[in-house]
Amino acid sequence: MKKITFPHMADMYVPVRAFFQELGFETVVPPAISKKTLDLGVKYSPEFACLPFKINLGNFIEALERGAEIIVMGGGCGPCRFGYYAEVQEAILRELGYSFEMFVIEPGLFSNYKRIRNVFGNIPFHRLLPAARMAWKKAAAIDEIYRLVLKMRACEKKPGQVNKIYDAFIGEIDNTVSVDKIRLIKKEYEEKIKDSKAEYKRGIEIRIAIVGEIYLVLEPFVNLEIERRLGELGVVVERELYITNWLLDFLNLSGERKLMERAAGKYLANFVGGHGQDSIGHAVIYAEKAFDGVIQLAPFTCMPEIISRSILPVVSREEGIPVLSLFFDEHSADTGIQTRLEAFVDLLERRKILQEGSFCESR
Amino acid sequence: MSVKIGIPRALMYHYYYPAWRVFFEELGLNVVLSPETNKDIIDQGMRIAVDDICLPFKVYYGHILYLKDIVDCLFVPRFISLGKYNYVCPKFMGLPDMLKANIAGLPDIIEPFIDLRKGIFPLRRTAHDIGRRFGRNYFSIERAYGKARKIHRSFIELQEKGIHTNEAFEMLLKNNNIIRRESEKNLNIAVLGHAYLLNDYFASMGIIKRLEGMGVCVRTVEMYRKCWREKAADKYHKRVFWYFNRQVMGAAYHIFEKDSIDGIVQVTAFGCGPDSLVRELIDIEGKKRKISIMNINIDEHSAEAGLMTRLEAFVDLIERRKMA
Repeated sequence: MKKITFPHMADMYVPVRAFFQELGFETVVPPAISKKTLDLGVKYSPEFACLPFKINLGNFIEALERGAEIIVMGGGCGPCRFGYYAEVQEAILRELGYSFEMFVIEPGLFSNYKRIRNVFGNIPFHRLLPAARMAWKKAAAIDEIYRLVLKMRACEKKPGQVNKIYDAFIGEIDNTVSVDKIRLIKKEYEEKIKDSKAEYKRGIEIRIAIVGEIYLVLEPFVNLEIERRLGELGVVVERELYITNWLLDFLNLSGERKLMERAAGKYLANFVGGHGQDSIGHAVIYAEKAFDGVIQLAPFTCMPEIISRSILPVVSREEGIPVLSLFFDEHSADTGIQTRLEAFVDLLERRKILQEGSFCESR
Repeated sequence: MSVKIGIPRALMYHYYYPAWRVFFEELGLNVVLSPETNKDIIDQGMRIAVDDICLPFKVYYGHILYLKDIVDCLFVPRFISLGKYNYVCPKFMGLPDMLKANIAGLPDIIEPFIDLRKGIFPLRRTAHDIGRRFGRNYFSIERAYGKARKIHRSFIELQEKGIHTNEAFEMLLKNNNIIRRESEKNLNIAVLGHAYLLNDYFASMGIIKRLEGMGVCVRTVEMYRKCWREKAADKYHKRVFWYFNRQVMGAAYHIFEKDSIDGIVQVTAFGCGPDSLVRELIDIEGKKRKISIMNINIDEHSAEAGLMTRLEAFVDLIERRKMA
């Protein structure tokens, strides 16, 4: 049996590995993204390729070195570059002399059953549905807990406590093999996280929404753990992008898209690929929900996000919500980001205090 | 007095100018074209545009700034797709919105949706929408549309005969006949890249003219017939879903297979998304086939001297290679 690998995106490896394991395939999870991954990726990628491309390539090289034989990768046919990643990555890896099979998940996938069979061999079809269910449950549990983590970091008892609980949770959910147990584990850790609640670190609740390109929003290594930093600064973070939400949207099962399009319509009339329109739409929605600020994350030279970056200042002005755009590439340094975040959060705090007026006495 | 409509001399101008001009003139409008790109225009554009957008868009911003006070309306079509299964670069899709967000005091913007994924037919309806906006009747719009289509076809034909875009504009719109010099060195170099960068003399630092000045015969993407390009583009890789990059890729593979060319120069604007990936594929393939390829990145800080040195070195190199 050939060994399967796939790129990292935050904790996505847990459900993906569960899916393949349930089907009886062996998987090679690439080593956690590190400086080495990035260096490998940067070394062999085209220089203007966006950051996710480079990290993915680094993942693949590290996984192939560990004996992976099949690469499963996402694809697409939209105007975002992601749809063409796999083709170029395959060419680069072959040029480097690796031998492997590249399997791309994209529309029109099932029209070529022969290829699927050639790559994976016999697929136990009766186990496809249970495997998908298992993966989905794990993904949903992770997303639900993480949503809580984003909120509770701002008001944890001991610094770093919530992170520790979350890491333990991921470890445990990764090891589970039964669907029923997922629910129990989720409940247990939900309680644990809620138990760690104390006062807000800043004394008031500051809520920041994160919008932008999915990889940069989800993957803590590339966004320099911006959510953790915000949590440490005592900020409640929320976002619309989660793996499960994204999957629902991808399968056209989400009602969120319509709302988003309506909200964005005034500023950006049509779909521009990737999450360009989503960034605008969600910024508007979060402004309506009275959030204190919006942070946009995207890789350098990301085409859809450049459009939304040009338009976001207008959204900020008209909807009355401060927006900070952060673009990342392989040279982004954490000190710079930290300084900017601190300044931004101080600004929001001041703004909120001035708006509420009465807060001064209680401090 | 007739309505003045402004067409910026940037981006899609380099693909559709004759058709646009004829269409609007037939409708009885006064077409105002911005001047050729100069330092001032680029500087103006740079000041307003987001910093990591590519150079051609900064140039476009500059042209819009030049035009906005002297015309009654601006023609900024919103390109989505130029054929079945493909898109253009996402930045074109949000172009009118970006302009509205970044530039204050714009005149009326005519922003038709150009989406040809379902065939060429919706284009006629778009033309009628525009015509009706200026109070023209069905037949005059139809006539204008027909003439525009016709001149666009002859524009494409001229290009396929090996005439550069700017010269084709002259021939079609001013009826100047251009006599092309024969190249002295008998060297053929294909310059691959987007027409909106290559044909902008100032933005591309006259890369085509400079090569021709060295006595090289320059071929561009548009000079390879479209059916050849389409055929070659699909053969090796997954369908490239950006229209213009598909053309570049097709031209490159056509060159690899059939055309005798001495070298390829790939010109890319810094930060161009589609190019960053497609260029890599062409690079890898060219290396396998032992074809000399030089990659040039252009942004607003590129210096002429550096470019000139590299071009000279490249031409010398392939000249020697050919003699050997």
